[in-house]
Amino acid sequence: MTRKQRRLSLIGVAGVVLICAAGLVLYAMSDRIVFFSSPSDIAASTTAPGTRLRLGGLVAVGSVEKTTDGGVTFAVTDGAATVPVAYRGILPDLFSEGEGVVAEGLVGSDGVFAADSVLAKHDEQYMPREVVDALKAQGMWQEDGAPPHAVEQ
Amino acid sequence: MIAELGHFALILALVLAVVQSVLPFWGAMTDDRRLIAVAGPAAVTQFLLVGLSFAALVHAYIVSDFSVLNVVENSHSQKPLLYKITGTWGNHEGSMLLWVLILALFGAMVAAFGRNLPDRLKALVLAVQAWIASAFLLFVLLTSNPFIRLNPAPIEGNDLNPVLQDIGLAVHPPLLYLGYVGCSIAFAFAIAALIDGRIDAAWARWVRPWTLAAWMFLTLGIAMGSYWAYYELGWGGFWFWDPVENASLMPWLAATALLHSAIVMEKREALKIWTVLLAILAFSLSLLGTFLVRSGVLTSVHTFASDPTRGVFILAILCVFIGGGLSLFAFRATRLAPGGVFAPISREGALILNNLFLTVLAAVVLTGTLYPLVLEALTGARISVGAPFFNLIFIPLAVPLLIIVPFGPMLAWKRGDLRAASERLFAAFGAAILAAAVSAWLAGMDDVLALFGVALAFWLIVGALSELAFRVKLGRAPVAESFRRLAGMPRSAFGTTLAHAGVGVTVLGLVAATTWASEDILTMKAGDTVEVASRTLKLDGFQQRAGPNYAETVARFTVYDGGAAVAVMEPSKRNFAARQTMTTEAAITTFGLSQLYISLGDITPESAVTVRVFWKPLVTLIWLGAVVMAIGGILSLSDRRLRVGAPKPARRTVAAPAE
Amino acid sequence: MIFWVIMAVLAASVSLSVLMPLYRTRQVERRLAEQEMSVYRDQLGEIDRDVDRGLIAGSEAEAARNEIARRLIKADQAKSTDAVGLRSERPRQVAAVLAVVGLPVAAVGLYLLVGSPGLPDAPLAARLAAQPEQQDTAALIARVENHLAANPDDAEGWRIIAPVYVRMGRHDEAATAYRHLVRLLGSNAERETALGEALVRASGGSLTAEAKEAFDRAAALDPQMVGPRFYLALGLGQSGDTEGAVTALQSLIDDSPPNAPWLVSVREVMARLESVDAPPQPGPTADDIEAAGEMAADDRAAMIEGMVAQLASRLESEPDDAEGWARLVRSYMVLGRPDDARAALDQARSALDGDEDKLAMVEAEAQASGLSE
Repeated sequence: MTRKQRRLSLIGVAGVVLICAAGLVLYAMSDRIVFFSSPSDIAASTTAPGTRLRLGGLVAVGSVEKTTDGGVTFAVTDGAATVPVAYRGILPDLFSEGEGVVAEGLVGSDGVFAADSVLAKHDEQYMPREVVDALKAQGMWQEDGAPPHAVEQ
Repeated sequence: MIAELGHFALILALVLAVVQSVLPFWGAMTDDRRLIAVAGPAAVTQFLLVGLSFAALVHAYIVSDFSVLNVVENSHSQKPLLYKITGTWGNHEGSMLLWVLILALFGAMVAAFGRNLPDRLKALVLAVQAWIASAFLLFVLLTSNPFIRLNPAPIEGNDLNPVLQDIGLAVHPPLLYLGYVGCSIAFAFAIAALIDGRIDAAWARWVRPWTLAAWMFLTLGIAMGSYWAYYELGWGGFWFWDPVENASLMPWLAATALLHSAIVMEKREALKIWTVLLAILAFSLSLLGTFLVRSGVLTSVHTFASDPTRGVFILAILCVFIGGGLSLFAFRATRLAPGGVFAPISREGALILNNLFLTVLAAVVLTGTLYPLVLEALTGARISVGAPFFNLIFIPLAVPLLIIVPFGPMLAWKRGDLRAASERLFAAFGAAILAAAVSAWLAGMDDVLALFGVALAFWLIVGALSELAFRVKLGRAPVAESFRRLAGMPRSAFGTTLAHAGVGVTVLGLVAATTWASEDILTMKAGDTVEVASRTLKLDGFQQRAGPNYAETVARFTVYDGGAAVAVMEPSKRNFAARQTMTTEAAITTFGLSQLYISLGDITPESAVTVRVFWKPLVTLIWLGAVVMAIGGILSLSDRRLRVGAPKPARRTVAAPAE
Repeated sequence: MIFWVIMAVLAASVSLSVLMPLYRTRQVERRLAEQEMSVYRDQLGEIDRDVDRGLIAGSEAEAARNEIARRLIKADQAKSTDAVGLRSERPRQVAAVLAVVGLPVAAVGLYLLVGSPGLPDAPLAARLAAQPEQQDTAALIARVENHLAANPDDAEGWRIIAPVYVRMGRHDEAATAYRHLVRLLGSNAERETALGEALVRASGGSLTAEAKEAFDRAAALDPQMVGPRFYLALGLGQSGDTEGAVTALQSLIDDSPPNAPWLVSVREVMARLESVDAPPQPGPTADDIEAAGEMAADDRAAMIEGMVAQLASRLESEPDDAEGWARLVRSYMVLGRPDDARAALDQARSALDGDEDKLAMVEAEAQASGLSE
């Protein structure tokens, strides 16, 4: 086999692998990524029920209720709109009312967001960036770093 | 005074690094041996200075010197001594100082152990190393100075984030940094060789031990980080495709590729251009990882603090080194002579396939990690790219790579015989089929992909061992002869076998722990029991305890196996008063290679608790596999053939009898 | 001074580490390719060993040997171009100046720019052990806190720290301190009122259930006390019973002397309750609480010291108060002034001379607080 043929076969194999990889990436990008929404986005009903989303905002004060079967319901608000969320499982340690939260799950047809994972901020100085942006959009963010605590439902 | 001396030592280190950047480089360019000679002592002194500075910071943490801002922000007088010390690098400033310390350590090691390197090459390597050190020392001093003082000093600190008060934190970042920064040596060698204009087989041999060391530390660091997340975060997961995890995986993939291509270059002088490019890419990906974590561009569990100026600074460092490196590469690469020829079916061909898949994998991880950033910049849409995305892409691309792994060592250099290699792998193939059949019998046929995964794992493990068996002529020669051959094998051969088998072990753990794991979420009261994996778990009750800097509520569980109590598990909720934060401490008990994992939710006033119980079959193999890989790395590193390139003067080793 | 000496030594040794190789290296001709060639020679030896072990076949070994031999020859040819000759002295002089002058000047300059020269270390242990006169307020408080963490049954310590917490706005901790006081010294109207006030402040102005219980107990012990009446009335207002609140406040005004300092805020709250248009108030404002508390804003450290000094001067005039002496000794010990404690004990001995029972009590206290003889 000449040097040229060798090179061609090498380029051929590399090309096949690259095309497969690119195809996979494009497919995954159309199918496996999750968009981030604020409660206002969902209230504006731009999203169809059954869409997978990340919902970010503050946990509305007084909205957290434990159900008897180990589940929990709470509401996520960005000041302008509020979306009820149902979740089954263990909440993160730093989950609490009036604090930032990101929930990932599906929008139900009844308007309740069925979360399958809930992320809270992981220390007191940290707020998920998506939440900050969503709150800024609603004019609820104070630049001193602290989220407003008295967010009523 | 100690704190101020640490500060001054750090500044001296910066100034010295600038001197070390200039003089040896100048010397190498003008062939002035006296200037070249400055490189070694300067590198060692620089390490001592940064070491002094780091020691001063650790001292401030140990004695709770709250006149140092960094200590106030991240420590507390009631914290246990161990976490006072590990807290030194549990924050942005301290961890960057550790980064620089390890960088200086590698420089000093090149100076101390690189006696066999040509002086000119060594001087250039240390000069390039000093460029990197200057940039990062400047970064630390200007944007992340850990020696900023407070006067008057507060009486108490803010404490370290309780999640980070863990032994895993003591080990994980230093290991990972050793890996990241180790890549800088390969980079420095590549740049030095490009400047010098000469790259040959000897270069590959010199660069291999450093790459191997970096790869080993990266492997251990990633495994340690994964285990830390597994037991500390309480979610029972071991890999989240978090941007920061990806940031450590990308250099690992690149370093693995570099390790293999350097073999081709050393043995056959082929793939020169590619190897140099990989050396640049591996370090670029390490820098990118540092940038992603430190700039706060991506929010993640690991982000300590985000500060725009820091991000811009690291981005500038990133651009200068990656851009400069690649430009130099583009300018010089064409001057490198092509190397030896080989057939597509050969050891070289297999290693090229390995490189192809590894770099494509690194590229898709990079794409997935950066895509959200690019999309947001272009369209403003915010997305999250997580496990579903990466699993879909990563697995189909990794599987073909893993299938060809056992073939590589079986093929000869230059022109291999695929049929002969396949015949030698019959045993591995049989073992794979058998393993899949046994798993199907044990766990059922529900998950065909998992059965395939088990087969793949055994294919890798037995395939790696087959190669060893073939080389010692096991079964084809008298046993005594085989033993004699085994004893005569170079250590690097065992290294290869172990590293490849380790991959198989990890794959087995991944497949078993993701497919056959069970998870129960339930509410329990004292006296309640639950059945998990043929064992009975009973909640005995709750207990309040006081730790050194926290109060905890412990739930006590007893595990019964066939009526006999076999283990006691005590998961807890800890309340850290200094930061007013709660953490969940999971309880983990190992049965054989599998683990039972309990994590607590809220405890209600009626003394009921939400409990999350996982059964993770063979989960420990995930990390044990990584340890096996690292042991393979150590064996290879101790092989005298690689040592020729590093510590011992060559003349003596050449004359030495074979080991 | 010693700091600058160490700094100078450090900078000098760094300069030296650059100078030494500059002047000790001789400009000899050496074959740079030598080291490269040794790698290839080693590779050749490796092939021989592999052949010996039968790891590679003879023909393959021959091909590999040829390849390596070619590299060896190439490296050998390259070496002649690497010859290094003597160069001018110029680079070395520049480098030396850089090392001796540039390096220390740059380092010290940069340090003066960003460092804090002369600022001593402040390890916590040393700060806590320092004499009280040299201690900062924070250290004094920390000392009392450490003492209380170890001796949670020391009522005197809690009595010292509680008002300090109130002044510092650490109301949760103040409430804890008053709870301890009630537990250790028993319930009385003042302590219960103080506890209630701390709780109200801690909750941002609303009368929590625990605070209400405290005020209820206080009112039961002393029905005429102003604090409990005011806060319980506020509580009525907060729970929606505006009428009841107004009645209670009116009776408080009626019972007060006309120039009582609290009347201003009582009338203010009443006016707010009575006005129909006013939005519902969640509770008293911070000003209300401040006025009702009638607390002076002294320097905290001075206050602790002041209380002790007051006790000391009172004992000058009432030297037969054994309990007072015991408290004074203990206070000095808590504040870390063992010398003063010892002096106080001596004074007590002479003052209580002849009264064995009382003296024994002071001696026991001194021993308990760690003033060993």
